[in-house]
Amino acid sequence: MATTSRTMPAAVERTAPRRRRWRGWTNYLYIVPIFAFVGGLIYYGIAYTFYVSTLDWNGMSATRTFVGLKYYVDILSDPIFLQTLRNTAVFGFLAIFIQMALGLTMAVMMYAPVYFRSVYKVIFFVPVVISPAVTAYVFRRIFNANDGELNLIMQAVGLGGLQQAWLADPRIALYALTAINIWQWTGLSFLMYYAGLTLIEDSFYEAARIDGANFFQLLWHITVPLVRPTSFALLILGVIGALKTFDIVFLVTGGGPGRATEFLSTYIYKKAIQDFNAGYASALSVVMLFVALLLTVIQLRAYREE
Amino acid sequence: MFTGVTRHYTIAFQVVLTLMAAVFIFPLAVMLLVSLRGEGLGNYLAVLRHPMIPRFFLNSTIVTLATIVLVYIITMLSAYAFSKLPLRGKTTLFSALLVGLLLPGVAILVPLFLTVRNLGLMNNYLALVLPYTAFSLPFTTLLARNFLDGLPNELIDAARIDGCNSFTALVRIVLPLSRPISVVVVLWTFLSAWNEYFLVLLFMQNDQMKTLTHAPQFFVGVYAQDTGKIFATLVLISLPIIITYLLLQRYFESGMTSGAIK
Repeated sequence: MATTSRTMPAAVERTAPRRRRWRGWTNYLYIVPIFAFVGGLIYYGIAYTFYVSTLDWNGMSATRTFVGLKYYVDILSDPIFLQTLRNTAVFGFLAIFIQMALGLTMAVMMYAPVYFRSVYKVIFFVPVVISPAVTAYVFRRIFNANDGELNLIMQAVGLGGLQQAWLADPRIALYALTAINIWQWTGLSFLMYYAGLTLIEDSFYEAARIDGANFFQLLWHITVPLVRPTSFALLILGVIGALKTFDIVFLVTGGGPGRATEFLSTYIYKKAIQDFNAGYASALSVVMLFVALLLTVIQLRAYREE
Repeated sequence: MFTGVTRHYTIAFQVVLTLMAAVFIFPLAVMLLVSLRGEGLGNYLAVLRHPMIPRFFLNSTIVTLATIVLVYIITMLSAYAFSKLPLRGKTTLFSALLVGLLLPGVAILVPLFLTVRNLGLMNNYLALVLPYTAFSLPFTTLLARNFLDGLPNELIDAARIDGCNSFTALVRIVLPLSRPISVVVVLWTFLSAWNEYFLVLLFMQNDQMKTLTHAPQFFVGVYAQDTGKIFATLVLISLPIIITYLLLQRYFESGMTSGAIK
């Protein structure tokens, strides 16, 4: 065999259908496991959630009453649901844009010939890898009204008058949670912008500089538009991330005081696990999924149209 | 961008970056300082001697390792098929997977909870490993497929002409070349499984089965007002992941950024 193939003219081998790689049903075997997981858990989960959302059911007993779309109608007039949407929107909006602004600022400054670059990088990024289950405890302490480090420092520098019950005051708690999120995730924005900046060629800046642009003009008119793909990725990640936020809220405020920091995720958890209202929790879940899909589609559209 | 920028800017940047770094390191410094309050390093010894710490550590390790193995194998198989093998309806199938990227885990809380209970998997590692795997796969597969798309198809054709079947081509040609993305897949899965809190809260009601992210809560019950020990716990459970990050910084960074730039 070896000799025949060696003596065969190369052209014969070339004419064999090269693009036809291993055709046939066996190729599908490679994707069976992933679809077993994603189909068996995620798709099944979505379908089942939709089904349960039409039931009056505590999740355990044998009695399930079909209630149709009743819960969806209820949700629309549920003041707590509306509050969770407002909270998620405020939290998401502030967190996403502040993280992007801080991240880009850090990335741009790190492009200058500054010292200790690798030290800054580690400091900014470590919060990203630490579990929210850990940071929750640290921030609960820092934000403590009586002996929290934040209030102590404010007192020490003469800002005692501005001390707050950061987590116990319903007007402030949501912003305190937002601050924790910003601390945790700015490192990701920073790193992604830092990577994005490497793709901008110096010639862009040169041309603008010859036209007399100063540093801030360069930043605003050249850097910001050119890192748009990164900004867009961060926006999408941020919106989904805000909707997913659970651990930090659950562990720092539990949704309180009152409902001041209730998120859709914590509300679903309470309805399902504490109130045994599987039907209503499922309807909320379907709404959550719908919101996630809708926001993503809108963003993708807007981005493509540009 | 900075070729013509004056020294003044650089000095100003240095100052601003240092201030920002001070703010960002502040919570970590608080964590460390409070962890030494009272008995100093004795806090660490006390926590490390507590019989539940090895248990939590073991649970976290088992769950994370099992998830990593499953995610790695399944990711490479499917990314290979999506990138290099002819499949009918490939685009549709792939898009179907991507829906998983949008799904907040809490949105399928009810079916997840019922399934785990009905299968008798409460307080069983599988109750964590299976969902973690399912939730990681869409993202890791997207990353790995993008990477494999960058490998020339001629490599696969050459392997076929040399007598490889599709599986031996994967094992002998593709896997050795995909080490960079393999590290990223493993790190990403490690990070999300090790830090996960929510599903443990739902499914691990027996303390013996809880993972490290639940150790602080457990120790609040044990040490009550002894914050030093609770914060020593926080530092201890963060150490494995911080050390891993410091050792493999480069891969963490490429992993975090490569997914989003596409």
